[in-house]
Amino acid sequence: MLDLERRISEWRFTMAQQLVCRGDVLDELEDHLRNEIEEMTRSGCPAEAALDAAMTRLGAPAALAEEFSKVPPPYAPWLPVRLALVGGAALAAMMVAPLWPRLVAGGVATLLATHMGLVMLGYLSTLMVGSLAACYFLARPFRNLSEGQARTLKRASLILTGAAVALTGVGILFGSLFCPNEKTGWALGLDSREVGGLVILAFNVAMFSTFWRSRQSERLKGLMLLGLAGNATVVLGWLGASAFERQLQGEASDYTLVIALLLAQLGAAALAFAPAGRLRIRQP
Amino acid sequence: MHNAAMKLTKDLVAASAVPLILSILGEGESYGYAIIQRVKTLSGGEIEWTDGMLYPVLHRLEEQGCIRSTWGLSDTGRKRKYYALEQPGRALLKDQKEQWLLVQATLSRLWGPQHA
Repeated sequence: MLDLERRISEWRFTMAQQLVCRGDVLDELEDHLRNEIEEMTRSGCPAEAALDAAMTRLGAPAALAEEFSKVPPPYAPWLPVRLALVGGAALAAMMVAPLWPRLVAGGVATLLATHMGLVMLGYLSTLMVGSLAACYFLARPFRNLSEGQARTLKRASLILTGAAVALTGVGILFGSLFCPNEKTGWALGLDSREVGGLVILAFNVAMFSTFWRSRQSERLKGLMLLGLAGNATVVLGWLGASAFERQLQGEASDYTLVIALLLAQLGAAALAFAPAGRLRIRQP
Repeated sequence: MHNAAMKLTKDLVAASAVPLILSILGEGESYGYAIIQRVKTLSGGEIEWTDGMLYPVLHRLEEQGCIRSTWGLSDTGRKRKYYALEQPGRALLKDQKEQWLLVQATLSRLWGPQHA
């Protein structure tokens, strides 16, 4: 029996080399293989012989892989999505870490740090969607995404946009309830940063609604342009509003970074007009 | 679904796969191995598929929205993927049935009542 399990594992390993990233298919084929073996052993066939026959009946791994390659998988990995998730988590940790002493200080400092942390994580989620959109437009002239990769990108964007709405919304609500404005003492002082935050929240809600309604549609370019617009909104509503507020307070403010980031979004958006796959590197 | 046991050509096996799968799923939810066994029983063992080739056809039908799949557990507790017919699949089955019956009726008229 142990030998049978070892041989099934070997078969699965061989199949996995042909059917890369198709764990669901491997599970399904293994269930089939085991059904066949059980049926044959019930009829009196020795287990090893049943396995040989079942593997033969299932077909050669290469031939099976060729048939499956004609059916696009529901989702396919796309490197920028993985990098965005890993990089996003690292950035989130880097953004929250400086707030830690205030988070544990207690009192108003904790409330304020919680509000800031939630809002910043919300902004970061929107920026992650924008980063994926920029990657999409940068990669598009070289190679259009496969159907599976496009679905992966849309799903990741939908999840990140949902996180952006939740974090920004809860953060702003938390701030308005527990963090009175330093100037007015009111829940909302409507200074530049607060107005910026509300604009970003409104944009996130609109973007999430659009992504949600487009779950089944094939359009991707328009959605990714929306992702770039999300980047621009966060740049203006966060960095731009902070610089403007400093200027109102009579402090030194610098808009260079804001302008550079906005121009970068425009540059990425301009790539939407480049024909997909035009710069594809052809194999000799 | 190549290599029919003897009678059916590769093309005919491939062409009949979709109506067979949809008809079986029309009887109720099922899974890959059971579908193959049902075809074998119904054809008296004359239609025999290369088992693994059934699955790309099932996945393609799912991709087209004709069937849907859900993961469940077998009686022995093993993970198993079950398939069920969806509305577009019912429409496709109706269409396929009409086409196959037309072919059957036409050939029967050509070959005479003794072959009908």
